Order: sequence, then C-alpha cells, then structure tokens
Amino acid sequence: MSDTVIQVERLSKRYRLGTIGTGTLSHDLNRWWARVRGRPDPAAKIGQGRKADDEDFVWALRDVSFEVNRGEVLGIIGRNGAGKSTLLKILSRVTAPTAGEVRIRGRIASLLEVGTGFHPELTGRENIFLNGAILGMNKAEILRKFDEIVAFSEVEKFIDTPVKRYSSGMYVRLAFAVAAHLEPEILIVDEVLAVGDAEFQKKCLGKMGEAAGRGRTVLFVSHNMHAISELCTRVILMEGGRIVSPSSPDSSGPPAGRRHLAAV
Amino acid sequence: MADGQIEPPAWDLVIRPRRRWFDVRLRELWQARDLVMLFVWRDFVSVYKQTILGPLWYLIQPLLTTLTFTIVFGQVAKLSTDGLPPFLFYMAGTLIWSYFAACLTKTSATFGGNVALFGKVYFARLAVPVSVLISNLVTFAIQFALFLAFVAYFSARGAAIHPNAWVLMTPVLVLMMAGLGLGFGIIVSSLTTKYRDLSFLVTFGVQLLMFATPVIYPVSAVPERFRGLLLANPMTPIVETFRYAFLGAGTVEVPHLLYSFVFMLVVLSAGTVIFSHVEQTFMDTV
Repeated sequence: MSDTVIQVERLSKRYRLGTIGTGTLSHDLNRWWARVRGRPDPAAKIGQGRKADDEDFVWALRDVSFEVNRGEVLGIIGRNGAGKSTLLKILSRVTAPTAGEVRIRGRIASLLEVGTGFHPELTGRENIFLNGAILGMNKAEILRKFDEIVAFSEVEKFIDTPVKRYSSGMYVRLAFAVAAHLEPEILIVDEVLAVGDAEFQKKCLGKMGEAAGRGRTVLFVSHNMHAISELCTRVILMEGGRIVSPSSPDSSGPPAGRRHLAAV
Repeated sequence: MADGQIEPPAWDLVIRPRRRWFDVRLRELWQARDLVMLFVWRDFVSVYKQTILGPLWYLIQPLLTTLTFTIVFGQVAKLSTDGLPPFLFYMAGTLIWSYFAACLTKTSATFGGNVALFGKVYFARLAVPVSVLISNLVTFAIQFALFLAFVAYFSARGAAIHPNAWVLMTPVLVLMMAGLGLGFGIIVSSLTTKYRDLSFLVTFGVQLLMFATPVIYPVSAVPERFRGLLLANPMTPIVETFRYAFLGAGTVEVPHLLYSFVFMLVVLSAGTVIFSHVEQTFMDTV
C-alpha cells in the first residue's frame, strides 16, 4: 500500500488560446499603448471584453488525481485531445502544471519520442552516447551497455556510418535500442512502439514487459489496444482533460484493464 | 523538497506549478556534466564534417579577419594602434571579441534552436548554453595558440611589444567574457521565447557593439568626452587589458576591471534566474 511511486494530485494545465503575446514586441507595445489611452485592445477579437475571460483558455487537464504503485504498468488511453500528452509532458517535466502537484519516488525517464537529439552528421556510435546522455544516462552507464544496445538495434554493420545515411527503420531501431536500455525506476512511454516492422515492435513490447517484470513502473500511452491489453496491469481512461475511469490502484489486475478496454 | 505532511520516505521529485524566482537548481547542471561534455564534443565534431580543411577553418577565420582589419582600418583608414604592429593589434582584438560574440549569439539561440529537443525530454536546460561556452573555448584556445605564435614571431623580429605579468590574468579575462556572453545570451534567449524581435537585434547588435568596444582602435585614441561612455561598456577593460598584457600598450586600470567583473556577476545572476524561470513553461509560448 505504501509503495506508491507516483502521486498525482489535482493536476491541472491551462493553455491560452490564440495569440500568446502576439509574438512580437511591437504588437505588445501597441496593445499596451491602446490600454493606456483607454482604447480597445487592437489584438482582441471582436466583441471581447477587456479582461481575458475564461473563453481565452482551454484546460488540457482538469483536477487529475491518481496514484501508481511500484511495479505497475499503467496504460493511459483516450481520444486525441483527451489530455494524455499534456499529462506525460508534465510528468516528464517538459512543461510545468498550472495547478496541482506530482510527487515521484525514484529515477524517472520519459520517452516521448525516439531519437531525441540524434544528430544526423554523427555516426551511430556517437549518437548512442549523445542520445543516452540526453535521456539521463552517464557515460559509464552507456559504456557498460553499449554492446547490448548495438546488438538490440541490429545495426552493427552501420554503427560507424553517419545516421543521416540510415534507412528510417534503422534509425528508429537504433533510437529505440538506446531508450530501451535506460534503467529508470519509472519509465514513461508515449506511443513510441509504433515504430519499426512487426518483428521489431514485438521485440520492443517484450523489452518493456521485461522491465515491468523486474519491478519497474511503467506509464504507457498508446492507441495500440493490443499492446495496452498485453502489457498493462491497469488502465486509465481520459476524456476532456479528466479521468473518467476509476483510478484507485486497489481495483487492479489485468482483468480490470481489459474491462475498461472493452468499454472504450 | 518533499512536503512535510506526507509519509516518511521522502519524495525524490515534486513537480509543482512555477517555482519561485530564485530557485535555479545549479546542482542539476553539475549532475549533467557528462551531457555538457557530450554536447561540446558534438558541436566540435559535427561542424566540420564533410569539409576538406576541417579544423583548419578555426585558424583561417581569424587570419582573414585580421588581414582585412589590418588593410581596411590600418592602411586605408589609418587608425591609431597605440604604436603596436597593426597586425598583432587587430589580431588581439578580434581574438577576444570573437569569443565574446560567439558566446553571446550562440547562447541567445538556446531556446529557439532546441525546441524539438526541449519539447521531448527534460535535462538541466543550462547544459546547452554552458556547453556552447566550452566548445567556443576550444576554438578560442586554438586561435589563442596562433596568436601566441605571431607574438613570438614579431618579438623575434624585434617589434616593439612587451608582454608582461598581466598575461597571468588571461584566464580571468576569458572567464569574464564567458560570463558576460552567457548572461546576456540567456537573457535574450529567455525573452525571445515570447518576443522574436530580439533575435534580429542580437545579430546586428553584436556587430555594432564591436564598434563600441576598442577592438579596432585603442582607448587612448578616443576623444575625452566619449571615453566615459566607452568605459561603461564592460567589454572595454577586458579587451584593453588583454592587449596590454601581451603587447604592452593600452589602458589598464584595476577599478575598470573590477567594474567589468561586477557587471558580469550581475548579468550572469540575472540571466540564470530569468532563464530558470522561463524554462519551466517556455514550451507553451515558444
């Protein structure tokens, strides 16, 4: 019970609609000057009041609360715009929430994309080091896992070729191989499994299942229902920035996950 | 870090809405030092891939600039060089200036140039601008060696140059330039997440600023009434001191250097605070 590794409490994220500062300094100065003279805001939409009202904003997340226990594989599903990606962005600290709090225990790594920071001019070998470091590994760790990563990616022959000469499949395989060898206590994954051919996808799923088997916690967002039902011990369904399915960790186990899936 | 009300085992990480202004987390930067060095190495390796001359460009650039300056400002415009050999005079100026300019312009693109990266993964954001300082430092070191070679050559030929104990200040001068470049750079970078205008300003602003710094002329050649203005520029004492140290002519005053140093500290602290504040939500506005 006390083995909670992620605690999300009333998390909300608000985005501003339309122009953000309108982009240039002169526009903002114009708006400011108009306000000083008591004229209407030149950047405002017709019929809009002077104060920014609620319609200017969209809540991508609203009062989202849930907990994740150690070793759980939590699937997050929902339609486009349900707030899944925003949630992952906040959990991976790419952007800060508007309200609420997240508490995390253990080393966390997120995989919102494969090959983040790959440099096309660098070779496969060089990119393994660069990408590994960006994802949070230190040099010693990468050195230790280097051979394993290369073997997993199946690009041994091209490891000293610049990755700009790689086929897209090779590129993605190498990228995923680096990510798969991160050993965080908590792994956040966003749809990245939609890469490579069926064979490689299977291998990736296997790698993730393996990670979960060793007591790691995985948060997994995907549209791939097959992958979700295969991997996840529990599923959260999101809609319009809120969680619509039960989110307490006690009613867990694969059957619960399957039940929610059936409801989607 | 953790909230007091929660059970004993402390949380390793608490994500909250915007942190307070002075929460800059330099420890994260230290933990990311491997990453910093990999960025440095990436910048160094990737720039000259598929070029024939490769790193030789590091030497060709300052040589051509110095030659141009020597001809245009020395021969055509006949500006004073404090009695120093014009070639060395301009080389010292461009060497120093190009390090500062590179630090400033490149760090000012930190947010704008790394949206794809910053949007997908978190790491200490300061790792990027700090790595820029270091990779430019490598360039500077190479060019500095070339400069030393020329100093040796000119003094062997009996030119009137007098390197002195001030050369020991070189690391401090470099540090001051790096700090100023980084400070200004990350302030601009933070502001450009909202106002793109500033990125235009930086490009030609740095060019103009060079003329407000004694790079192509010595302080002594400036009329008295402009001198105060010139000395308000924190780069002025740095350039003059550097030239005085290696060539033996120029205006060096400790209070001016102290002024530059304090200026650097202020800009750097302000920059770090603003940068740390902006990095939390810049993805929403960039």
